[in-house]
Amino acid sequence: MNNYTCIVFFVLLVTTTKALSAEAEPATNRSLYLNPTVIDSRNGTGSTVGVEYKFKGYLLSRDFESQDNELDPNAIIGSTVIGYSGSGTVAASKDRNPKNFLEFMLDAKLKYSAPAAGTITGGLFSKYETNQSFSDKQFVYGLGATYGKYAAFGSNDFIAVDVAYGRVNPKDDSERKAALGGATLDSYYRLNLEFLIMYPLQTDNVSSVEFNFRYFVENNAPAAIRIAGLDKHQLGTILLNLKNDLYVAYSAGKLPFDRKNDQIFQIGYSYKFN
Amino acid sequence: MANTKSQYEWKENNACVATYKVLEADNFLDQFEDADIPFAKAHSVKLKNLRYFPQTTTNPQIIEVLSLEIARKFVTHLVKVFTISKQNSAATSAAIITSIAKVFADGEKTIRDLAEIVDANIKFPDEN
Repeated sequence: MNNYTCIVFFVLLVTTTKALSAEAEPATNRSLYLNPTVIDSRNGTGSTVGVEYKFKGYLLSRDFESQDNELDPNAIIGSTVIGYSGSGTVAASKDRNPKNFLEFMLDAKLKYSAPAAGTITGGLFSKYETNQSFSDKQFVYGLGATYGKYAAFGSNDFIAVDVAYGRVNPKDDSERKAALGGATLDSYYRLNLEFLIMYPLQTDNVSSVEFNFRYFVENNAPAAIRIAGLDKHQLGTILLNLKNDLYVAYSAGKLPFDRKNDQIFQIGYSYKFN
Repeated sequence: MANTKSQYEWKENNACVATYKVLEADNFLDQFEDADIPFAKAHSVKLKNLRYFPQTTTNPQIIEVLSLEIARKFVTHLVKVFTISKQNSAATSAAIITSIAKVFADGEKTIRDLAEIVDANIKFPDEN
């Protein structure tokens, strides 16, 4: 049944891709973003240096907007996109990585944007999740949507919510295996939620404040998984952007594949690799 | 090795000045202070160092939504400052905003890159 569901999902994804490719222009937009960082974990095994990475690109993109004569900033924007992306943190010492959760995703989605309503995207996704050593890994597929609005409260703030509901097919998950006492790893449904708010500040030292919260909850988790505390994962981060490209951040909680609940302190700066 | 790719020239034309003004001004996007980043040095500033770019998430869906929202706001402010029109009348307003959004979504792009895409898509009074 699980394999059947996987096949149906990929047929849907491939069908969507082929339908779009008939008239779509090949997209050239790709980006890679790397941030060196120092991570200090209160409950972990000490500090380590690492790199936060993210990349994204479009395989296909098709716009639906109508022609207009004048430049109109209030124009409605609509499109369908097939894209790929990845993100995570890789530490010099993988055993000291408190954000040990790497993601690689392929998705097909619709996008709609209007000046008063904000911007929303949604559609099918498939995702590969693993830890840095690739010892724990799982495949996830399902439906997702993201909504965001600039200047929601003031002139230059931003708020966003990202929600996904999908089937998780665990390939290797040492903690889950241990909790289930060696039983086979069955697929399960999971809800993900991510919330972001950014607010500008007019102070001499701090230019803006950010709060990010990620939440994962398993639907109808077995008792053994609930008792082991593996049915829910959450991570909250508050960050102050300082002058001179510096930032300080504090995180509490854990993501899937993280070893334990933790409190993480980060200080970093932005740097470009050419 | 010499860089053979010609780079867009950052100068006091309408496209560069408008890009700088909309990003900097307190009553527009207020992404930096002119005392910290004067016009002459703004071209090399990476967009990830501006206030709109998030540091607490690497979620590409959120960054994509954010970039489209701020690109629309950017164009809204542009039309307040200058009497502008499309470079190519066949291009839709939505396509122009989307092109600008793609630059905003890439934190490694610079303010010069933003001015270049603005100049390529929008006709200013000094280009008539």
